[in-house]
Amino acid sequence: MFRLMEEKLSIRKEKLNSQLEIIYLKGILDAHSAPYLESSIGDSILSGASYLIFNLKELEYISSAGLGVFMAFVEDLRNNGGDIKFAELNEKIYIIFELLGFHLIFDILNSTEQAIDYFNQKKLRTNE
Amino acid sequence: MNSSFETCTYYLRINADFAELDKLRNFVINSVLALGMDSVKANLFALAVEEACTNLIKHSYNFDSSREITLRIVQQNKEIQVIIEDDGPSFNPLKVLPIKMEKIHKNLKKGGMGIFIISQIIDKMQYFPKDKTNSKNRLILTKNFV
Repeated sequence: MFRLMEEKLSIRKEKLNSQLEIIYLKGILDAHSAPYLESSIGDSILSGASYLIFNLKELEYISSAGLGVFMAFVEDLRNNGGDIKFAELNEKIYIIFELLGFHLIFDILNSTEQAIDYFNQKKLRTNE
Repeated sequence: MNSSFETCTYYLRINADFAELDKLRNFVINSVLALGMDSVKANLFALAVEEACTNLIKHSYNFDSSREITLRIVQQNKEIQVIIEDDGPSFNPLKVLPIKMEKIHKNLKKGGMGIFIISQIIDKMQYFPKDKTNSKNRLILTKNFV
């Protein structure tokens, strides 16, 4: 099932350090592909990632089931000092985020680098 | 409502299966683009229809893929309507409206986003539960497109 799903939703991960991971999403994130992403995020968290940056530049579509995946993880991550940030949203996706007020509860950054900087600064503050 | 097939422009029947969502989305987008809706509105309209059908597959049909959902897209003056029919247990989504955005944010894990999304995108929502004369529930979503 997942092999077919990879054609619908591509998930590429880049681990910057033990806690920080960039996840690039490409394709369609709907009720059909949401469990695939959920499982993949679960794997990242199990392997120690607590700061997740989702680059959505090439995501073509998202529905409430897809948005629900981020919601399922963000509370627990924040309670444990981690977080989720979004970067490089294209217009189609931003419109839907705005519709649901996601821009009020998540940081949406223009570039992945900005999101990385944010996490690095937070880490420095925590270590002070 | 005039539900005669003379006004029917596009028709699709899908099984109650999330694997059918791609077909559904493409059908809605292609139909409304052909009727003159712009691409931004077309994508949002498809999202609203998909949210309604996702709820049917999940809650009304309980993932029984042998069950069916039918869609008709019609144009009436400056409005486009999609008529979604199912034969599961009746559920009027208008009964849970209005939903406040703050409530969605406070209950991050509990869902309810689908109906909220529909209400944000669609200009008019009507629901007719099945009865003695009509064996199917009918949800009608209307959007102005000019």
